[in-house]
Amino acid sequence: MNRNANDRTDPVTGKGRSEAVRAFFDNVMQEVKFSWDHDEIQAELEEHILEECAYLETKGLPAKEAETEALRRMGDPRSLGKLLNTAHQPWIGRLWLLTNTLLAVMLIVFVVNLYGIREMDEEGLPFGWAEAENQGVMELLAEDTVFHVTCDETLHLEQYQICFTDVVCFRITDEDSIYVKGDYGIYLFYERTGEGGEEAITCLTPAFFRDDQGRTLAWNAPWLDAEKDDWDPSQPDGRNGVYGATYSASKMGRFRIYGFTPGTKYIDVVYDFFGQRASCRLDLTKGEEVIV
Amino acid sequence: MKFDKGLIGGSSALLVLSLLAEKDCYGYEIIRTLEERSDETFLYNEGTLYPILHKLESRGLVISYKEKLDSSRERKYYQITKAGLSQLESEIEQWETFSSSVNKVILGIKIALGCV
Repeated sequence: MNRNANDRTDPVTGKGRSEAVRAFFDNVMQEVKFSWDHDEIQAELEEHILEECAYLETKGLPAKEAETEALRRMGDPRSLGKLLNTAHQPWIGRLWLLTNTLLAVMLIVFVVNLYGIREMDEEGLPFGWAEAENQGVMELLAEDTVFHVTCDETLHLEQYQICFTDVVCFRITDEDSIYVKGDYGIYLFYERTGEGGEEAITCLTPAFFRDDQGRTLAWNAPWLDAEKDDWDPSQPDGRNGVYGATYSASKMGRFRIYGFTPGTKYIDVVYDFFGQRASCRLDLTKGEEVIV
Repeated sequence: MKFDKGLIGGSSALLVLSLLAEKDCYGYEIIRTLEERSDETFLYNEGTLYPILHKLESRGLVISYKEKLDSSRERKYYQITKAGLSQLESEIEQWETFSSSVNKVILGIKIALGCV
């Protein structure tokens, strides 16, 4: 029921409340300092008075006299208001309001931050997918780059050749907030040549990466699940790897791997193309190191 | 019979919780039931029931909920909680101890007055 404390209409008869009833409520509410509770209190008292009036009318009292008697039985409105005020302490009510407001604010902040870490790449594509065209190596040479090593390692898989050209190590900043700020990631830039249809492209992603400490870097990408049966069961599941990785299926693109440890000497890139294994080793100690 | 306000005030929570222990009630229903059960001994200023109910609710001894009567009217019911039941037990024990002690004290004068 959404009855306003100032509503002058009797909800049952539809007629205006009598002056006596209005005066009764005005006197009660004047003593209740926490105004947020006025509506609720008045609604309850009003319901009581209505029932009392109805009861007295069944006893033979005319409506007007029943109302007068009902109000008399309620007692002095100011005294009643003072008693109600002790039960509706303003500080409790305000504390309740403040607590609820703070909780609401915290919830909003939490939700905003949660969605804030859903990273979108430069073209607004979902996290984990990257187009190659505008992500050349030189665009990454920014203040967060730790080192950049060129390499020239090619692996052959069916009719494809995949040549790894650059490895760029970067420090994770706030923009990569899904991971721990201050940790490191690497980009592995590659070029792919050879013919193939659209289905083949999704298979041309590494099964996993492994560094010189034997730590395996695997995938987060769910669309690689179809390849699980082709993987060596001793190797980690694409979702459960130590590291997370994203990839691009473009002919020229990059793999982005998080959880990299500076000082790593090499990264092995392992492909499993429907049972066909191919791998290459990217030596991070050789090649031209570009100091940024 | 008019009762001393202190007597009534001290037992209000006990009376209200007792009724609510039987079933959920709304305010007017509590007033009417108290009148009937006490043979109209307890005739409250009816409005004073509501501060009692609201205090019991703020203490967690009862909770309230609303039921729609029609499109414009709602009735607010009160329900005793577990804490309320514990409090009721405690109050009954206190009342029995109190009334028993009072009875012992006044027994002598009652005999003298020929009331017994």
